[in-house]
Amino acid sequence: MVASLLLVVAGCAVLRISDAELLAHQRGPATLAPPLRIVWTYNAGAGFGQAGAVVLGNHVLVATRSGDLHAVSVESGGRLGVKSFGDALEAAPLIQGSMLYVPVDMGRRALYGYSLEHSTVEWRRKGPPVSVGLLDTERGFVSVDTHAAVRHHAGEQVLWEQHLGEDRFVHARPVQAAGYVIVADNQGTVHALEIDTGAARWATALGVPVYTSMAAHADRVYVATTRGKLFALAASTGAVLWRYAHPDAAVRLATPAADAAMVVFGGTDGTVTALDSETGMQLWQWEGPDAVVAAPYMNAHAIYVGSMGAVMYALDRSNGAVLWQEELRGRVKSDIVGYDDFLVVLSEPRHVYLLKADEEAQ
Amino acid sequence: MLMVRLCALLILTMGSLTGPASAQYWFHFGRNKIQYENFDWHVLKTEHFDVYFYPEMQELAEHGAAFAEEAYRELQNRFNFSLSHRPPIVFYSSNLHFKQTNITDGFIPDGVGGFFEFLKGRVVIPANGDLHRFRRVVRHEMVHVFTMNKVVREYRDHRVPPDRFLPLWFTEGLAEYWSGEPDYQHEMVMRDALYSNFFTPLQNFYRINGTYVMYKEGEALCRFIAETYGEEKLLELLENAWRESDFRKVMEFVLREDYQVLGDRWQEWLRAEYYPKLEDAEVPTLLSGAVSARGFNSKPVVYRRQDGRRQIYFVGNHGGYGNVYYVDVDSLYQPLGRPQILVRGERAGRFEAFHLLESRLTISDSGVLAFVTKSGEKDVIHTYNLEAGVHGPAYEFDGLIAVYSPSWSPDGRRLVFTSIDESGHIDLYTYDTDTAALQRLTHDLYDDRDPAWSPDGRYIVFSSDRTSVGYQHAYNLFTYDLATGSVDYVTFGTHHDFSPRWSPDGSQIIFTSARRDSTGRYGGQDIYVIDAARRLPPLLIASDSMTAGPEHYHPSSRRTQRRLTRLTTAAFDPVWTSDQHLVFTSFENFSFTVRALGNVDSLLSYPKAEDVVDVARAGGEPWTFETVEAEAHTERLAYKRRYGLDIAQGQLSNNAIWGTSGGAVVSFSDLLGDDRLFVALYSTGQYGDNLVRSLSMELSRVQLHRRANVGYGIFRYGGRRYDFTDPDASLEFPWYWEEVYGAFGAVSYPVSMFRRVEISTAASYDRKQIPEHRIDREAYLLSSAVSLVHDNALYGANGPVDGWRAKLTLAYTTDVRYSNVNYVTVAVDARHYLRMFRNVTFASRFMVRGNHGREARLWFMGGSWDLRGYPLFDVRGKKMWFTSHELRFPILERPFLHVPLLAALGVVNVRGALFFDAAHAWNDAYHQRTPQIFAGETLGSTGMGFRLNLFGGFVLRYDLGYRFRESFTQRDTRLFRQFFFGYDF
Repeated sequence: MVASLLLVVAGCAVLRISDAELLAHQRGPATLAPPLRIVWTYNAGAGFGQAGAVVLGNHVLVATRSGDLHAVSVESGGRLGVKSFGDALEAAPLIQGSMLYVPVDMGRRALYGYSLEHSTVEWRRKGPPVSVGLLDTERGFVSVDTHAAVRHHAGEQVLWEQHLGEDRFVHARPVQAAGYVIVADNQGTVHALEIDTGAARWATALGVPVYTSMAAHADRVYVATTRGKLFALAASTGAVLWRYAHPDAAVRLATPAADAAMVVFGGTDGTVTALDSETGMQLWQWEGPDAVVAAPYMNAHAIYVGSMGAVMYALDRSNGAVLWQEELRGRVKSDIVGYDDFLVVLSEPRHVYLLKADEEAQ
Repeated sequence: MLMVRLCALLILTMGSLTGPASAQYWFHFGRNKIQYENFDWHVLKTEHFDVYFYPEMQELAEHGAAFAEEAYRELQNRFNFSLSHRPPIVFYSSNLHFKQTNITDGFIPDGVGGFFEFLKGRVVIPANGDLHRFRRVVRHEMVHVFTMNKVVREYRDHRVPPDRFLPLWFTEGLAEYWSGEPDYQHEMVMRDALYSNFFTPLQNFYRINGTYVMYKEGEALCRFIAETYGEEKLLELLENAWRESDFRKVMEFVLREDYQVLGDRWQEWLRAEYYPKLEDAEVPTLLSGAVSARGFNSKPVVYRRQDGRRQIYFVGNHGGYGNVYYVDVDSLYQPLGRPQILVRGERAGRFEAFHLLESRLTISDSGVLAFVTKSGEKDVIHTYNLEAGVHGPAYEFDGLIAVYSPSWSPDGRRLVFTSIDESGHIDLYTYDTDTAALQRLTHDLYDDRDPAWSPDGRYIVFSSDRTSVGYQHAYNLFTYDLATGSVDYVTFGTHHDFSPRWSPDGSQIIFTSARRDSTGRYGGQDIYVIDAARRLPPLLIASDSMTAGPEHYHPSSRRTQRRLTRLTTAAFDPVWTSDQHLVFTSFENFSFTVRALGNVDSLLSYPKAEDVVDVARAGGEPWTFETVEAEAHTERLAYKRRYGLDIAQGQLSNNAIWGTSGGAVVSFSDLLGDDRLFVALYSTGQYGDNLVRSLSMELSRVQLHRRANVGYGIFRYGGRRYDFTDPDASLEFPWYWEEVYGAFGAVSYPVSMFRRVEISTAASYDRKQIPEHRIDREAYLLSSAVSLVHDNALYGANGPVDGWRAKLTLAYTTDVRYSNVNYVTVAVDARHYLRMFRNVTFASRFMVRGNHGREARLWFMGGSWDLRGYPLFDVRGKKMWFTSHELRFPILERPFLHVPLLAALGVVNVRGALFFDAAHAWNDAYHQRTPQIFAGETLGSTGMGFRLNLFGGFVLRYDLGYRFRESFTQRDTRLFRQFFFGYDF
């Protein structure tokens, strides 16, 4: 059911969106080209986790580490509403129909089911914190808590539950590929679970810890690690198709972005590396002055990268050359997201940026 | 500390100006932190840091800057984080310069390698000769910089208050762990902790908080976490610190292990690692006999007096000051009594401080002892004629800052030593005591240490990292040929070969060495002997002051090396006596003791190991570290003072009687802490129209970058005062209105670390009104004072325990226009502390104070801080004398070791005191009675007190006893009880 009404309540702030408004804002991937300009900035009052913002209709939804979920107008950057969940929100919420599913990284409530229609918390689920994002599936969604318990939910109901091991943590958002839910744990094992039953299908031990989210594209899963390695796995079998080793094994690689042509990822040494997604051959490598820990956003025109030096870059897809750069107020450590003609970037200490193509400069 | 003194002086100077100025509040003692050097600071702007240095040490600063950038690149990966600001790093070329920093007000002892000051995020590090050590300390402090910024970012992101301090063991342990692999000192302490059973389990870390052991155990625990749970877990601990204020729960969350179980697993891990190494190791206390085992003992030398007595001299600290000790020993080197003090150190500027762990002693054949102390701005070599029992000449050298380990030539005419010059390079020097000729033997960035002159007078053996494997922080032994200037290898390998000395016949060299075992970890530091064969391959890494000709090469570069001990822990500074004994320092049970081992022949015949060292393997290019060149690649600028906020504090109070009052104090200082500004505003106005009338303000500046510290400022005081020292105010309720405008200045000049002269003056307009006495007095006051201060007192947890301190003040206050005020002040306060036993002190205090003249102010006494049994400040008079005597003794020392709950409550100790006080205050005539203020009669009290130290810095006092009146002819029948706070006098 398409939400007929979206309500986000914070104190007396109430937001309403009609069906017509939602339909008027069907969003697709961002197609903008550099140079960009900052359209607006919004102060969210607290810092952000690794996950980026979510855009629904005219609303940019931003989860903060102080436990608030902000709704900001795409058009104006004004606050449309804010809902406090009390405890830290490390991952982005998931919207299905009129329900908003919110993972919580602290406290005894791990997951909230929030009705956008009624502006109320419909249910809460107790358990260990959930610090990684939820995976949208046909029947519901998949969550992974800090004790490495994977659950497939249909609303409040848990369809299946699979534990990956008592001594394991999961810091990577699960992905779906080849009909499997794929989860990587901190000890470097990538698990594929049957999406309908949760049955384990394959597990591949990479031998290096995984602390960032994976990228999936065309039955391939790209897994970045903390010790300078990145693996391309066949989603159907778990076989390692190729691997990349950074010259400095101490470098932590960030969440990659992938499309049919290339895989791009940053590193804590300030490099951004582009690999051929088919062969793993390095296409180019760009080195900036500060660490890159957030996932880049790539489209046909450029690769957009935010650095821990508080600078946004647009890099040339073909050679990594800097096409454009802009200084922000703080470090970028959350994944960059893009829709239609804009990017949303979260930066320290608590700012949300919306950027669009600077047509005058173009 | 001098800054503290000066600031206190300023504040008190200003405080005293609420009425006619006097020196009566000036009770401050304290040692002096002296700025001998007027550093010409420059800033080197590297990619990520602002590096502060002075031109003399530019080369070292360039190395340090490269170390910082190198650490940044690595830590950016480890912390998954970049810094968003440019941290300031302040370098000094030596520890002696470092001691002068104003960035911290505290005194810096020898062992401190650097510090990170978190208020302004400043990193302060001295180079001190050893480049590897310098590099490691830079990395250590950089870990602190990243840790603080990362954690604060997590707190701010999560909007949790930044009061969740990480435990010290974790921050220091992590800094140690991420600054390099465990060094030989780490292994030495950990082995000893486990073998000697003083290892502190994780659950009891509070017992070792802030100690050296905590650093090493913290490092070991971080290594355990990394190797057991994964390196990434250390970062996770930081990233999750926001979750709980109790770090134990954070550890349980991240490691998913019960805290108790975690501690047990760590212990098991350590035991598995270290206990197998015990199998064939020798415990120093079982292997050798103790010569001096009480307190700290180090750097022994042996001397046979002309009357045949054998004596061992060493530096030590037996619980108080550092001294040179000696002890007579028999032919088996067993002590014939307790060690005696030969040279009393650390009490006066001449022998300000010993380098207890770094500088050896030497005695010439004719019995002249040479030793080094810090003496003012530099180190000085002192001599002492043992046969005559008198001090000889002392030697200091222009441009040489730190001096270590002198060694006499066989003829007793020349000394060889190592020294750090103003540039921070440590090199070998010789000094001819007859001709006063100083010769520099080496001149490079390598760390040369522990020289010893050969018996034939031609060679000097020394330890140095100039070896071709020096890049791995290895030290080998070398000889310097005085005839040719060549430097030759004696040992070679990735070892730490230290403290060489020649055998009596000059055929062998004895030294200590720490070497890696089969696991790659350092084992114990043992005593070795190697043949002292001549003609070895010339050194490729030669100093630029010498040449190495081919005539020195000999085909046989191999020499035999024997390992004489296999110790569980470590030996230092071995001496091979002429009667075939070894005297050395050992480390065991976390104490340094001087020990003796007999029968060297047997040890040589049956060594623990014997091998051949082929120094021909030593080759390769000279090593060096990278630099960030100040001239070429970066911006070098002269330092400009920019002020940053230090403290901002406000206060507001409301009282039914006194009304509303409030104010604020703000202080600023420059980055180097040399220049400080203070602004204070305070109002005691009780209603609207007297808000301005009751406004007090002070503006002052204190400059600390010179030896003579200067402070000056302006002030305005106004309002209703409650001042029981005012002679015109009512004795029962001494309040009046006053308005004062003026300016003041003060200079404090330290003669030495222990003595200073203070001069202050103030000029002000003063109007005093006392309505009930119909007084409305104006005065133009000029008040000047001079004080002499001496303080070498040694502090325990609750106050001074040894030494003495005194202060003499003369002041004159006059009304230059109306002569309404005109009086002189004389004040003497002397305190002596006789240490009867380690924990028992007899303290005595004598004080005389007098104000004489027109409108002379009253002094005050009473309360737990001086005349006990009388109400606080109720004994008053223009003149007074006071004496107090106190026997201080322990009741419970570190009771938290037995009752852990007391640690949580902060109970450090409980001590007792038996006291006797006597005093007499008077005004115009000695026996003229003023009962309201106890003037005109001799008072006293006696009784017992208890002192409870909380958290190491707050002392609660409880006294009970009997009061005496009328010149001790009357005793109160009731026991008095007084409860207060504060350190012992």
